[in-house]
Amino acid sequence: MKLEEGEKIIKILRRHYVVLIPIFLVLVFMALAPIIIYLFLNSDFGNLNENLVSVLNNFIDTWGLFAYSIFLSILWIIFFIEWTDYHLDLWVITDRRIIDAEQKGFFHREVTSFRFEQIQDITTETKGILETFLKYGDLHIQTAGHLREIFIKDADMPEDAKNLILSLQHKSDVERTQ
Amino acid sequence: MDYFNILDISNWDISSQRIADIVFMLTVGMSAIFTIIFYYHWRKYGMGGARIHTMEIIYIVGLILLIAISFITLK
Repeated sequence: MKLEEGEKIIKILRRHYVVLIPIFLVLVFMALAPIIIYLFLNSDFGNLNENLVSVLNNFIDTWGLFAYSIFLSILWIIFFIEWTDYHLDLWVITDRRIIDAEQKGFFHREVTSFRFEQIQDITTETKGILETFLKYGDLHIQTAGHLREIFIKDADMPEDAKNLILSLQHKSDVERTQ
Repeated sequence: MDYFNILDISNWDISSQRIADIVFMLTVGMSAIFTIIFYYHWRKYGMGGARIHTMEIIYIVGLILLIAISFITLK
C-alpha cells in the first residue's frame, strides 16, 4: 500500500473475528462428518448388509487415514482462503485520508481512498446482543466523492473508529485553515 | 498395430495404490499452488503484524503435518 510522503498510518480497521465463526463451524462439522457417518453406518442403527460393512471396514483399514488426511488438507486450505479474504479486507486510517481496500477474489482487489475533507457524515450501527457485547457493528461514511459511501460491515469497535475519524478530520480542518 | 479402446474400463490397469499416488500428488500440487498464492497475498497486502506472522506459521505447520500423515499412510 503506497502512502504519500510524510503520511502516517494511525489505525488499521478490520471486520470483527466473529464473522469467521460460521465458516469455522461449517468446516469443523465437515471435518467430523466422515467420522460420524462411519460410526453411524457401523452401529446397529445403520442396519447395513454384512458384506457392505466388511467392504467399508476393509477400505477404512487400508485407506481410511490417508483419505481423511487428504480431506482435512482440503478443508485446511478452504479455511485459509476464507481467512485471507477476511484479513485482506481492511480500512487504513492515516493522518490524511481513509483507504478502503477490499479483496474481492484472489486476483481482484479494489482500493479506494477518501481524504478527510470529502467526509460529510459518519454513522455507526450496532444491532443485537452479540454486536453490543462484542463491540462490533457497521460504519457508514458518507463522502462527497464519486463513490458516495464507505461501508464497513462488522467493523471492530466502530464507535472508537468514528471518534478517531472525526478527531482526525477536525485536526485536518484546523491545519488547512492555518 | 493392436487396437486399444481407452474407453473400455477393463483395459485400464490402475490399482488402488496408483490412484492413491495420483490423489496424493494432486493434493501436494494444489497445496503448493495455494501456499504460493497465500504467502504472496499475505506479504503484499497483509500490512504485517504479529497476527499474520502467527497465522503463516499455523498454516504451514498444519499443512506439512497433514501432508506428512497422508504420505506416511500412503502404502
